[in-house]
Amino acid sequence: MVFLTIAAVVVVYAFAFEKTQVDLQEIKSPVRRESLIRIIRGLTRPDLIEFAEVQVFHEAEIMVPCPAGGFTPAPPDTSVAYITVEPGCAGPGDEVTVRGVGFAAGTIMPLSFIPNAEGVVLRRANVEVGPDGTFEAVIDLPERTEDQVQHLRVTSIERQGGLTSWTWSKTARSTWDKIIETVMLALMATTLGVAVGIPLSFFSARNLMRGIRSPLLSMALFLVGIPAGLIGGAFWGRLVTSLGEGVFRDHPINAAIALAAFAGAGWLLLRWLLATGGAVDPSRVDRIVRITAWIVMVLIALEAILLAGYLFMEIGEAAREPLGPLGFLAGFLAKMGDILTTFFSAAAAIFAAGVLALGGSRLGHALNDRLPRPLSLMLRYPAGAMGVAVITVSIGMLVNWLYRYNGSNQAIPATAGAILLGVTGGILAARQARPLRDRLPGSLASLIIFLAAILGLAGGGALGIGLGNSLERFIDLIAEPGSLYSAALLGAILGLGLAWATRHLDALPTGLITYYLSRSFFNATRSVEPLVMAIVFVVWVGIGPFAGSLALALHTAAGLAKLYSEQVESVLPGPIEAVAATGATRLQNVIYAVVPQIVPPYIAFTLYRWDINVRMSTIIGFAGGGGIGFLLQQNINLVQYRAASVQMLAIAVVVSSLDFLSARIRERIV
Amino acid sequence: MLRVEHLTKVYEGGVQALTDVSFEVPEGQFLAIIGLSGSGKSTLLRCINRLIEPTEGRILWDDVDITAAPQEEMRRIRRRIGMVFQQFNLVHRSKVITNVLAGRLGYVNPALSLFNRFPQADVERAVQQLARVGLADKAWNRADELSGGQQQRVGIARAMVQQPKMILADEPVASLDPVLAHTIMQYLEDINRTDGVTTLCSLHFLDLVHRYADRAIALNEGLKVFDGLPAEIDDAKFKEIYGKDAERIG
Repeated sequence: MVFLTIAAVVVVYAFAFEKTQVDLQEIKSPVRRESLIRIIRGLTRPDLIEFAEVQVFHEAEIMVPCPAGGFTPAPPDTSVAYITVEPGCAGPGDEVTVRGVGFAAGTIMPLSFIPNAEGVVLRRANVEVGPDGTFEAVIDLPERTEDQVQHLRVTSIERQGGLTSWTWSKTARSTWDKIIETVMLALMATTLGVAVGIPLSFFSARNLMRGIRSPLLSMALFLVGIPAGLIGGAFWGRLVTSLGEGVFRDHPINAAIALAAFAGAGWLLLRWLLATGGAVDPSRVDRIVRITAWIVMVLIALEAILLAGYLFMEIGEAAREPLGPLGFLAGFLAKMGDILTTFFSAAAAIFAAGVLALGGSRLGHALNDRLPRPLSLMLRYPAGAMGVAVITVSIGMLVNWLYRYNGSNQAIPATAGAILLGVTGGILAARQARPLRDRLPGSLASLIIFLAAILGLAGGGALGIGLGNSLERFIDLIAEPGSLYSAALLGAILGLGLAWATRHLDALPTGLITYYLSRSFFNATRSVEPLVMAIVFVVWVGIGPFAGSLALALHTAAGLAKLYSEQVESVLPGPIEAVAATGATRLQNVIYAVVPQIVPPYIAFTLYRWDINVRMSTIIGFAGGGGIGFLLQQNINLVQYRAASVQMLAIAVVVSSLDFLSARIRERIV
Repeated sequence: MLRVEHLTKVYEGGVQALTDVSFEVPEGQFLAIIGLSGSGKSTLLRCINRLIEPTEGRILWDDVDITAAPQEEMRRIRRRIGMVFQQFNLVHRSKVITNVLAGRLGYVNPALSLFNRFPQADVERAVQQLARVGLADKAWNRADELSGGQQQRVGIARAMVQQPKMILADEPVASLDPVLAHTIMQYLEDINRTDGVTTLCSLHFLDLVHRYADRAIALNEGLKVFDGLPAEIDDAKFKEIYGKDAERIG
């Protein structure tokens, strides 16, 4: 057995060696070794500081061609580095010898012929200075004849001032800028990721979600509330923005007054609501008044936010100049204002959708509890049809938008619909057949269930395909985009089926459905590396740190949601039970019994993720995501290893110091 | 008056925890529930405040059908029923006062409670109940800094701050030493006598039953096998409740 295992391991690794192309021949190649040495030398000499440098010209006179009586060049100043030329004059194209004394050993300098024409420099050769500070070179003179003295010139680069006159090199400066950008990128990404990850983690915790069940009426009204809210909210948002545009934009005084009024009214309303909240048994009128008051207060608050947005923009723009170096604070304010006003309609839509969805869910609960049973049973059918239709129409809209269907290619959505219908039919049929299992012998029951599932699948499939075909003809009668009507019809039928299949169930396991949906979402998101996601974001928001931070934030949210939710699933159930026994609502239960238990691991995971994000943000620039990665990649591609090593150094310093910092924070808090 | 009618609970997988259990508890009575571990005591108590959903049967409390009550009403019902647990079930990282105030969650405005803001009257009630169990000075300590007996007293304070009309105690003293057990039982007795709170308490030791309970019912594998005064539990009844091989200790 052991021998077989060893043999198997050897085979696997032999295969691995083959596939990973382990090749020692390349390592021995002298060319590669030379490149390696060059790279290492470059990397160990980071281009951090430079000295102020000047170009110094060292010239010698020469005459081309030789004048009548010959020419003796002026003697050079031997107190500094100088060159001599021999002979002192010659014809065009002749060879002359240039010697230099007193130069820096090992440097390479250009040797040029300088005629008297403005700005003309004719490079003849590069001379290399020997270890004793001298050089000797033989060059051809160019075809430039003049009556006056011309020059030969060697240009050396010398430090201005002594060793103390150093400055940061250009590389160092740009690296510093980029490293700041990198750290801020990581900060934004982590913050956003945590903000999204925390609520997502609660929805992904099985022990919390398992107990949430809602009646079909409630779920259906929730689903219907979403598009109703989106449309209504967007409409209201746009209405308010266009009404207020003239009055408030660019008129900070108006905005400020209105803001004060709204904020004041909203605050008073809020105080009243909170103060009278603890009533033991509110009557129905009380409840309606309170709900209306809440909604009005939130509308006021939204309006106040819009006004604040206008105000921020004005103040921010005005204050940018006077604040000087702190101008970025004013810029931040202005940008906040911009975000608030631009996204107001969207925010109003999302908020309204939330309100209507939750309100619908509550209404559904109330109807389910208070209506007489036959009536609520009947109501489930239209409710179910509407609710599922919302889902299918949304999917249909998404498919339309992605694939741009017109009336003629109905085949694919119809087929997809048929499959969906068939699978659902099969599952429902199997469920209906389950009670048979208790009464009939096992194998017979299994056979019946199997047949029922096949029948359901076939029936559903036939219905779907039939619908698809007949609707193709329907298209002529119904306007474009017909596919949404078929999606709605499909959804309605599925909804009816769902209502019928669950008629004996008091409530659907909506908690578990949410659990599976959110788990699937973040499992899928986690498997895509942020580097790859950054490519998509770069296309959406442009190259730069914003794209990088969005990509990182998405991955962070998914990763943290998984880690957090595993913590939530491992809390002690006792305190949760105890708090539930006091009559607390589900949310109160989470806040009082779950949250205190998960704070230390949450902090630990957040710090862990922060470390990862700092590392990732250093390389996310490789995909265009901003930060120092871009600079590093550029320098590697340009074979500028001295510059690349500055970036690597910066990355190492930042990552290790932030690692150290977070370890200390962890010690203190956790 | 609490009336339990034909209560049955079958867990998923077929485990029959309770079978056709029926009894009545007049207001203000101290009822002891005894039986072997796993006989259904905890299940019975949790069915009464519907932490566990009964499979069959009805529970009526002051003529309100608990088993059929919708969510909103359950909140109102549960806040009048306090519960004390064997493992104390305090939130360890929270302060003692926060743990006690959790008892008022059924009464306060959900929005305010999210920010740990309770009305002053509630805070005073909490301190008062802590004083009653002798832990007023520990109010600002973290709950896990307390000993077992102290934690159970906090649990009792939490149940009392609900101003309950009924208390369900699930083996409240099983994790405590005999002296502490008596201390805790005395608190429960005091609450029962002074405040007239109906108390259902599941217990292991018969001496506690004899000392504190007005009446006892016994469960054996989900069936009610005894319903009467503690004094009526003679050796024969004892063997019926705990099994043929059981021996009385002390």
